[in-house]
Amino acid sequence: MLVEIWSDIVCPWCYIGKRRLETALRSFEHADEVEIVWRSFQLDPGYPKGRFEPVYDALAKKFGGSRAQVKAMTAQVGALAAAEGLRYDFEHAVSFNTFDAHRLLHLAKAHGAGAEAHERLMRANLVEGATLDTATLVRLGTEVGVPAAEAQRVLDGDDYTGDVLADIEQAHRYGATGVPFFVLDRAYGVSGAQSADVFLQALRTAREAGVPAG
Amino acid sequence: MDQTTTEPAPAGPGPAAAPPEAPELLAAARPPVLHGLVVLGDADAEACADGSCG
Repeated sequence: MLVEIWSDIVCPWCYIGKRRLETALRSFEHADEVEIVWRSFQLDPGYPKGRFEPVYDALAKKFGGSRAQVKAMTAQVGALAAAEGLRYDFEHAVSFNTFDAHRLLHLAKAHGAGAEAHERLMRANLVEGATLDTATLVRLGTEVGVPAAEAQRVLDGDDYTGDVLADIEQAHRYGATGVPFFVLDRAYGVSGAQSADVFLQALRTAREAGVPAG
Repeated sequence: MDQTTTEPAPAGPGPAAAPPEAPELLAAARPPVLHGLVVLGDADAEACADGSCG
């Protein structure tokens, strides 16, 4: 069974959804048949490349509110993340254009480490409050098995641009307007950070339907 | 002749016609299909869109 997940690494609901899907998979009778493929999505593709600013400041600008108001906005998602074992650090989390990070994720996928890279970059951004500039992306890539020189070369160029754009285009074709967005066997869609029970039921529904991945 | 072929139902109401189902029951029985996907789960589940969350 193919499970494709559209996600952005700066998306707090995506990390929560990932954890809930993992919980569901631990109860799924056919988890060994599941292949997970991460797909790129950008929440804010127009965010200026090369700009790194605190999430609180970026959101305050976007919504015209105060830092205190933004903190209140993120408090709920932080609490729900904690329930999934994720300690978000919004105090240090940084907003940035994630396009190059997605290109690195495709490179990691080519090395058979797409899932590991996605987990590592989300943790770096949301839990560790790391600034994911090129040097940090290279370092994180090496942690999941991507050679530093190759990561540097890709990030200095434009490799995997087409792959990132193709993923985003496919999400739009499905009608996805937000992430996380899960597609099972290219037949069933699950939008948002649903409960583990919903994911488990969706997995069972797709398995019973037996729709082959095209 | 292929015995598995399903003959089309006769048009118009007949003695065997089923009573119309309430719209809410139809909705529950048939999940919405959007852009080729059958959508499962809670349509209001939390997600991020358009840079709306950090």
